[in-house]
Amino acid sequence: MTTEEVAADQGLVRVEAAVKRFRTPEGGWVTPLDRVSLSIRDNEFLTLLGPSGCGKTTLLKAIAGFEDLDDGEIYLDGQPLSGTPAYRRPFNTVFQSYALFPHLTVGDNVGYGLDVAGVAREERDSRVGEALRLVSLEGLDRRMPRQLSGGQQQRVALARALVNRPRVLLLDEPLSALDRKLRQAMQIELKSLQHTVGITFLFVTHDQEEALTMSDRIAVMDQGQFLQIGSPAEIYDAPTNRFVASFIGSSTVLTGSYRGGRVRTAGGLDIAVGTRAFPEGEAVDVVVRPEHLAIAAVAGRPTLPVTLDNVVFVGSDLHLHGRLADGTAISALHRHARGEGELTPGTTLQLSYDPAALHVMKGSKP
Amino acid sequence: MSAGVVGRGRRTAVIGLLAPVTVLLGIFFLIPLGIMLVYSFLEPGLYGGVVWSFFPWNYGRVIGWPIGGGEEFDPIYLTIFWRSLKLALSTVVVSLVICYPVAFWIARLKGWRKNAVLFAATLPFFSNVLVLIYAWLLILRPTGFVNTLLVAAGLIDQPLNLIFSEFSVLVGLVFFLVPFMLLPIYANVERLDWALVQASADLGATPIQTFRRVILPLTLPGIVGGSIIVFIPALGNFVVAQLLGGAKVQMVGNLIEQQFLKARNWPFGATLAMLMMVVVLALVLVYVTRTAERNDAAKAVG
Repeated sequence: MTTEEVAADQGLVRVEAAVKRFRTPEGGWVTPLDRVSLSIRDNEFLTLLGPSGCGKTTLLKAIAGFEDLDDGEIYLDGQPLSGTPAYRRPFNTVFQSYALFPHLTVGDNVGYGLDVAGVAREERDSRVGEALRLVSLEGLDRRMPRQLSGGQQQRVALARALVNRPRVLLLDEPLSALDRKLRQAMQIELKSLQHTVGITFLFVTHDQEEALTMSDRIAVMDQGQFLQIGSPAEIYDAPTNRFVASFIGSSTVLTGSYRGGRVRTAGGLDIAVGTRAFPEGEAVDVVVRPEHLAIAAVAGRPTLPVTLDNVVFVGSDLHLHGRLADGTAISALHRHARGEGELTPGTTLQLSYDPAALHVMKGSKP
Repeated sequence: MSAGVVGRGRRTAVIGLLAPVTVLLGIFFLIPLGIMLVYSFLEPGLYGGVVWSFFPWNYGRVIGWPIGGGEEFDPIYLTIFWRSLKLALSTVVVSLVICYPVAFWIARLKGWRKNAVLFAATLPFFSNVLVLIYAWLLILRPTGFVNTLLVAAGLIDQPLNLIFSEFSVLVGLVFFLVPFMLLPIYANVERLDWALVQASADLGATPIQTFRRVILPLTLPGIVGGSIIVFIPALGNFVVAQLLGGAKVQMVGNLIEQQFLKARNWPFGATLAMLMMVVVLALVLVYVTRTAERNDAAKAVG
């Protein structure tokens, strides 16, 4: 792709065939970025999702300017960024460790970017106040970072980045150090904050729930490559391969071959599926999610025999864990109701399913 | 209420823990210091020893007041004080300039290399100071390594007069005291969180701004600590000046040593030691409060 073509593309930031390799201490090579391309649209909340070591943080650092690419290019508004040092890029980062300056007050931490840019005192003070108000920390500007709780430090880091009005806000697993409750609250807050400020967010996480909650689009990464880029619903309902299906949400992926609206699995099961989009004999994977299976028999619906291993009570739901006839582990979700009978491990249930709900995708090599 | 109980228990524990070192310092530091203080106000005996009568004139000999008791003011002592101060301050500055970048270099080394360099930096501690200083005499003397090399290279015709000068004393002091500067600065730099440096660049600070606003303030404690523990022994040192300064470059330490061991004038030696201590305390106090103030000011400005 030539520069003009890249400029013509809608992306605010475009990553073009980015490659990054590292030498391991053992003398081998790891490739956290293996010719990845990505277009970040203006004003979207894009999440890079993948297991640790998949390359998502490397990509974030490359965009921020902390890592040089071995090959490929990153464009901002169609202009290549290689050769532009981190401090000249209009991006700001919220670091995983927050990286607040311990020797500066909260106010001076937030004002840091404005101070080094030489913004006049009055404007600086009003923008710092505004940023602190945005993250609900007004009145704490004279505190030192160590006097704040983890959640408050997180907000300071956010305010410190947002106050500079970056073109893209880069967030490197910023919620991973918070406890569960606070994390869930911050997820919702971050999303609404992004709406308020109208800044593009590039969010890195290994937590699929976080990604599904907040993102406009999710880019699933593994071993230095994008496996699927799409909206949360697309990625959850229609994964394109086994990795995405099992990484996002819990699922059982059954391998088999397609024949006339049914899939015969390697383990000898015969599953009815809704799709007719595959040629006869095609190797396919069927994604069965816990919510697809129901205890109650529904007239006209096929069933799967599942032998229960254990039943986990989580309040609103029961998580049923068991195995299919061929030994494949499978889970089902059951909305709990008062006074219903006990489910005993060891019994075999016929769980009904809607063939149209099951997602079938082209078979991937196991 | 329970907090008060805990607080009291903790106070007892602190007192208990501090007691041994307090007693030790009291016996081995404060008592000798007290003896020196008393001696500095006594009259020197004719053949060594002291005469037990109030005799403040020792101080007059050095600082010009009070004058009396047959002692006269001699500006040579102030000259030596001034030279010692200059040399000690130069030692601090030179070792700081050497150690600060080196500390960063060591901190970024990996694995065994780091340990090897740190071990090398502490090597001088394992050998005798006299031998180390004497080695510099061999290196710097007119027929020594440096001059031979320079003459052979055709850079100079005549060997340079490098020894028995303030320069050679400075070289010796820096060489002897550099580890004392390196270790506290290294300890500080090692703890420096590089994510903060990255954060600073991320927020748009140029490398120079990052250094001034983040790296320097965060490594200041190491610089202050290193400066103090280099300055004090540099000011009191007499071995280096004795060997590398010859008769020309004397420091206060030499003066004190001579009074005690050669002139056998203990009261005057004690007077010089007391004056040196006053100078050290005053300078360290000013230095520490000033750097603390500057740090506060930097915080206020941001």
